[in-house]
Amino acid sequence: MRNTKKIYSLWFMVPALLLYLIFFIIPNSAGIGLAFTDWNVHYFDDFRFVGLENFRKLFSERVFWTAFTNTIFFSVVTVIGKCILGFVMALLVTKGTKFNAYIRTITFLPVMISGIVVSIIFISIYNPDTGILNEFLRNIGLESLAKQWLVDSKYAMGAIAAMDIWQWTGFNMVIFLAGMQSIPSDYYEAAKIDGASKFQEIRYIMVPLLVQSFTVTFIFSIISGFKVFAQVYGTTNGGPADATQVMGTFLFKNFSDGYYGYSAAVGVVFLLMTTLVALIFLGILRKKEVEY
Amino acid sequence: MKKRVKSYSAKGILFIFSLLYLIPVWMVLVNSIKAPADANMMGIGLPKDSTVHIGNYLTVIEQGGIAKAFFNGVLEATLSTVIVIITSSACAFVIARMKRRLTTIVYYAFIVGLVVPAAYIPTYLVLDKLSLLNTYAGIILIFTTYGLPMAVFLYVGFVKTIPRELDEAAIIDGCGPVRLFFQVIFPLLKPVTATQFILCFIGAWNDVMIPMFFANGSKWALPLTVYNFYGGYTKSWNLIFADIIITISPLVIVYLCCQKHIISGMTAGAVKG
Repeated sequence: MRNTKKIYSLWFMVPALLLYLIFFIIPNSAGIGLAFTDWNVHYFDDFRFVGLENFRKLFSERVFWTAFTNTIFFSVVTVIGKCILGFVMALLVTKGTKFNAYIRTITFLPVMISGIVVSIIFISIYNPDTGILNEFLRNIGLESLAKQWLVDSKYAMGAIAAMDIWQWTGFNMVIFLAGMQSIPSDYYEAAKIDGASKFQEIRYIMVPLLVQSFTVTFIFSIISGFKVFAQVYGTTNGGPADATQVMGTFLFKNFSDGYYGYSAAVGVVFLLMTTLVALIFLGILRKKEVEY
Repeated sequence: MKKRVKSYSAKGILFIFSLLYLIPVWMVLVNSIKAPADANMMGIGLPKDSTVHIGNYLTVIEQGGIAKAFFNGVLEATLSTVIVIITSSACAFVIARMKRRLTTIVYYAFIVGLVVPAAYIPTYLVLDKLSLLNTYAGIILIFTTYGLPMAVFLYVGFVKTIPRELDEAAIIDGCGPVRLFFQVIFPLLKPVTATQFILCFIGAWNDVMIPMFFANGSKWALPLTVYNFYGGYTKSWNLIFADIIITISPLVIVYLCCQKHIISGMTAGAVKG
């Protein structure tokens, strides 16, 4: 221990810390300050402190509340969808057969594809007249279910969420699989001897022991749900008439319109809500973890 | 007998599920070789004129600036990944080994970055002040910075599993701190480095938000080339689909070749969290 100083050098932290300071910590702190200014493209080098003006305007803007509720809707729906589907898929492909390996390969594939590219593919799939989704529905006689997916504001947000679930289910499936494989098989054998049914095995042994996997998938999905940008930008870009605006696209819209101070205020609200939700979930789920 | 029926029905469900993934891929592929009017119908049948319009790909490569975008992607993703790996592993090594108030604070500062979203607007201002807007350096440094929290987190966890005695032995044998890290410790971190390489590279390769905020088209990578053909009133889906195939194939090919490593790399971060 005497030698600690000679063996290790604090200088090793400097490059990473410097980058993190300049491009993350300083901007994030400055963002809080900028949110109280009227900085915009017209007065690029000359902005004034305007107090709470940006926030007052923000909270009275209808589009902000649309973005706010859409972000929450999107996060909740995708978290539930991805976690449940991922879990069920993992249950179905636990055995290491060739067929299961093929299923895993296929379902994980979209994770390799950029969100913006997936969006363009789904614009085609959701196309009301020629897209394969409506074409399929018409062919099996469910014409009434063929909707104007991304055009009708009633369905657009759900359609985008479905696309996100499609892309990320495989990812969650793999996390659950890793969790399932780490449960000792003695537990199942013991349960079988006690006469437990398959369902009871899943309910009373697997699920409680998978709390960590659930925590991970929940946290990952909820954070990425809050940060959603490419999926919405790529499909509807917040339209029709701002009906599918989420926090990410709303922020980008104000940014590209040149309202930097206002946009920074959106960023602050965004930061607060993401951090708050992540902390709440972490708190709830960490408590339920089981040691084995 | 009952068991067999059950296993068949599970297989049936899985098969249908896999179609949900295969059909879109097939749709993109088959329409990328169709004539414009045929592709705009977006059907999943073979080309109506029974010809493979390979010319779509040539058009995309010529008009879409594919070579430049590919170069941009390789440059930005590779360099940022390498910088993340070197800086974060060095930083994590010290955090894991030196129990000081300072190192603990630094560690938690990085952990916070796992959750907190980036502040794009002030970052834009910082890049502007440093004259890094619309430069490769700017994009690479931002990708690097956003990759650091996860990397530091994973490296710290892994360094802790390497016995301290090793450091002491190396020092007694005459290693300096720099040689100790680069020649003794860093090679031992290989599993995390591999994970990190996959995570960062794929993240940067597929990201669109950073180039869109901080640079113009000349620095964009493959995913955004699709906008050279999408948008406006006349959409030629044959070219859009061909562009998509070109854009996704590098990663998809790598994925199909070393699937095991990629899947474990992509999820290791999550599983260890």
